[in-house]
Parts: sequence; C-alpha cells; structure tokens
Amino acid sequence: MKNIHSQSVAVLGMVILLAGTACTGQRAVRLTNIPGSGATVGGGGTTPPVGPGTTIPPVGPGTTIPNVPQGPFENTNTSGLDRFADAVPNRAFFQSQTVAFDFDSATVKANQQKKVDDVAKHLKSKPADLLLIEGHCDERGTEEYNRSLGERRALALRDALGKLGVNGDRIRTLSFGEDKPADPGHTEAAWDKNRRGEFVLLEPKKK
Amino acid sequence: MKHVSFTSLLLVALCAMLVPFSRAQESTDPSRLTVIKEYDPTKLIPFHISGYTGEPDRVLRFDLEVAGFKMVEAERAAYKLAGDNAAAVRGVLSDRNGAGLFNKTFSGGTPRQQAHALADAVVLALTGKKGIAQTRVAFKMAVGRASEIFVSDYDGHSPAAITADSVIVAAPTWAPGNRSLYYTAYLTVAGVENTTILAHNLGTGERDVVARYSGLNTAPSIANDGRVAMILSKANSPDVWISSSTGKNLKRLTETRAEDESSPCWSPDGRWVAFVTKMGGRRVLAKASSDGGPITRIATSGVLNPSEPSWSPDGTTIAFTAQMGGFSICVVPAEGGEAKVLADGEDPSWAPNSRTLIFTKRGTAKRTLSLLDVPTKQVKDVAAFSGSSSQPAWAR
Repeated sequence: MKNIHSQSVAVLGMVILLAGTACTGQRAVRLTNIPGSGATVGGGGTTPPVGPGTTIPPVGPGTTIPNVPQGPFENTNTSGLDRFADAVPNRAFFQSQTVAFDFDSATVKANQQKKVDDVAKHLKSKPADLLLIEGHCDERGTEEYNRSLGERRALALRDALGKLGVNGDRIRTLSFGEDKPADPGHTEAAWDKNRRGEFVLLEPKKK
Repeated sequence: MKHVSFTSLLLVALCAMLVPFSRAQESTDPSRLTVIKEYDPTKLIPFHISGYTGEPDRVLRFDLEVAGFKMVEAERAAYKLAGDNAAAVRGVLSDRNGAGLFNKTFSGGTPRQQAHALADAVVLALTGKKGIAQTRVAFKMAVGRASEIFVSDYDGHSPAAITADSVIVAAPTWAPGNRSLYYTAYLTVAGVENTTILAHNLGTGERDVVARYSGLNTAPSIANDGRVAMILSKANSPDVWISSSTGKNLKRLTETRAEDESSPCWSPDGRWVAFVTKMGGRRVLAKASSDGGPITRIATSGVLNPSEPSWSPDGTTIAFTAQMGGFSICVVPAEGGEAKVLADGEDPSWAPNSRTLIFTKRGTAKRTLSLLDVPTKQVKDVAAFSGSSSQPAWAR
C-alpha cells in the first residue's frame, strides 16, 4: 500500500510540474482589443501534438488571443503605422513599375529609374495617396540576411522617391526576404524575377 | 483509503492524457557505480546495443549516433548496452571487458521517452556531459502559402503547432527557462500588414507585442538575463537594437546607415551581441558590447559571406553559415580566427551541450532539419515533416 501511495505522490508531482509547462491543450478564446485600432489579433496558442510526417492538423481559428498590452503601446511607435490604417491597397496600379535588383544588391539601377519616376509623378499628383514598398529577394541567401536585404531594397526605393520630392512619411516598407517569390523556380530566370521591389498604391478609403 | 485510491486513479488517468509531456523516471541499481571515462570527443565511440525492439531500439541508436557513438559488432565495441523494453526500458552498460558501469530501469512516460532517458544516461556515464535526447526544438514550417511556428522533440518527433495565424512567421527563439518563444509574425492589424515580434507564453498561450514599429521588426535573440536583441529599421536602416524582455528601454547598437545588419545573437554572459554586417563591401560577422560602443569584426578566415551566428552556451564557439556557391555550416572560436567547415547546410543553432547543432538543409522540393555532432561531424536527419522546415532553434 505504501508503494501505491508513493506512486500517486510521484504522479501528483508530475501533474503539478506539467501544469507549469507547455502541456496545455486548446484554451478559451479571449479577445483583446488593440488600442486605438479597434482590431483584435488572433491565432496564437498551443495545440495538441501531431504525428511526424502527417499533414498539419486543422488548428482552430484563434485558439488563443494574444495578450496585447492595454493603453497606448508604450514600446511601439504606432504613429508610424497608424497613418496607413484602413488605406485601400491597389496592387494592379504600379504592377509594371516593379523594380529589379542585382544579386545581393540594394542599389537602384539607372535602367530602373524610369519606374521610380513614374511612381513619384503619380504620388505628387495625388497628395492623399500613400505607398507601400515591398522588398523581396531570391533564395540565394540565408533567410534573415534576406529579410534585412529586402528591407534595404525597399528603403533604397523610398530614398529614391524622396530625392524626387516625395515625403517619406507617405511611404512604408515591408520586407518579405525570400518568403514570397514571384516565381517559385530555382533557375537564374526565376531568381531575376524574385529580386524586386513592388510598389503598392494605398488609396484613401472612400467615405 | 478508498478516497486515496480514487485520487490515484484520477491522477493516473490525468497522467495518461498528458503522457507526451511526462518524463521517464530513472531508477538505478544501487550496487553499481557509474564511471566517467577520459575520452576524446573527436573519436567515435564504438558501441554495441542488444536486446531492444521496435521504437526504443531505433530511439537508442539514433540518440547515441547523434551523440558521437558508432554502432559496431559486439566484438569490436568499446562499450555495450544490453537490456530490453518488455515492460519498462532498462539497460546494463558495460565496458569491453564486461565490467558493469550501470544498471538502470526507466518507468513512466512513453517507451520512446524511456529510451531517450536511457540514451542520456549512457552519454552522461561515458562522456561526463549531460545528454540532449530529452530536449526540444522550435522551427518554422511552411503550411500552404503561409508558415507556422512548431515545437518538437529534438529528433523531430511529436511536433505541435504553436501558431495558427496563417501568415508568414519567422525566426523562432527561446527565452531562458524555455517557458516562452519569441518570433516574427507578419500580422495584419487595422488593415496594416507588418512584421511584429511577439513573445509567446507556451504555458498560457498568451502573446505580447515586443516590437511592431514602422519598417522591419525581426530576428529576436534572448539573453540569459531576458534582454532582447533584434533587427529594427525604425531609424530608416536595418540595425541591431536591444531592449528589455518586453521590448521596453530600446537602445540602438548599430548605426550603419549604408549597411544592413541581420541575425543578432547574444554571448552567454550577456556582454556581447554578435551579428552580420558589411565592412569594406564584404559580409562579415561582428560584435558590439551590449553597453554600446564600437563594432568589432569577428574574423572567419578561410570562408566567405558568413551569416546567422549562434554563440555556444559555453561561450567558446560561434557556429554560422558561410555562403560560397552553396551554404556551409561552420564554426569559429568566439574571439574569431580560422573557420572550420563542417557540413552542407545553413542556420545552425546550438544544443545546451555546446556540442550538437541543429540546422537546415535545402532540398529541391523543401527544406529539412538535421543534427550535426560537431567534434565527429556525424549528421543525422530529424524525422520528416510535411512542410518545408527551417530556422530551427534549440531549447536550452
């Protein structure tokens, strides 16, 4: 009997130990507002383990909601992003202005300048329009190196627009590194297409 | 009495539900003593296993090969492990003369966990170092056009999705104590998609925003005292910044206007942050004091285009990726010097033993994870996942 008792104590210890570790299953959804935006962010949380080599199980929508700090983000410069909230993206507008880059370079080449000129001209004619510049890389770099390189490319294009008189406050940058190739191939031709900066026109929401 | 037995039944049932996370318990025959031998980690240990079947047999062989052992015939083995997994996993470890080193039995958990625990016991007995067979890793896995953060055992078994955002995620890393993960997620808030560094409590599932500034927010690395190093471009250039564990007290460590930094990592003593930058037009590893001050190059002689440094927990060595045509896993002394090329692959992350690395291999269809025993250069692939997997980070 003593043996059984010590076993249950051991099990109890294990359960207590587990309560503090990552063994939780799905949790109740708790919505937390993001201050100033009226939005919520979902999708975090822990899920039950799945067998190796199986397809990913359907993970419930918003199993856990992140604990976004209340009040203004003390640590987040939202002012830089607030301006772009609810703007309407128009991806087609500058589709033919996508800028190509050389391997491992963020220099805006002379033969790409005309595209930058076109974008500047439009933005100057439409003062209410904003711009998103997405920076992309080919796969011939390590992932985080490419994420920084893609940002550098987007920033180089923003600088080029600044030289043409476009206020940088109207532009935000987003680097995808090698995570969003235009062409999923592994050839020189695919890589040429993937080293790029894309302009996404952001139009004011229609009242 | 009845009450007690009901309680223990309930606890047993609870335990059964939680089996994937419970640990194997060790009991040792007290009449035997564990002996630590002098040993050269660069030499494979000729080893023989007998008596096990199925999964425990496979687990023991895998774990010991990762740890620098080589399975050989009984006559050629320096050490032998004989046992069985009929009821619980048990094993007698002996040397080539048949002298017993230990006799251990493992109960609780799954047979898989018991085998991992026995492998760790063998590693401890013969190398004097704590094994890694019961550790976990985090990584990024492609799911459709998006990706999610996963955590699995170090050998790729029991993977579990940690995120369910259906967005691109990247660069998972563990906070000290392994209770939370930090990573980058391309979260959309109020219609604005932006890189966001999140701190994710694995116990509660709660997430805190650490950095969501205008521009790039990525590549978090957590010091042993909890401070965060990361890449932010809020000052119009991708630079290394450090902050408290929650993202407060931001301090900019690099101010290279023309060059972009990437992949910061802390020295285990928290004095230095190593990262990738360019000097004289060439990609280099460098470090800066976490108090600020000048950037010092970390020489990586013999290889080109280093990136993705990972500082070993014992402080002696930096593992990194060199890019020379393909990608190579390399190590260099932490103060810089001659780099050693170890294997094809990228993005190495140290195990807590400062000996084993987990890294990414590129195939034509997808990326996969492998383990590298640095002194012997043995490589073992982890269990296959359904999606392209990369950016592994070892819990430690």
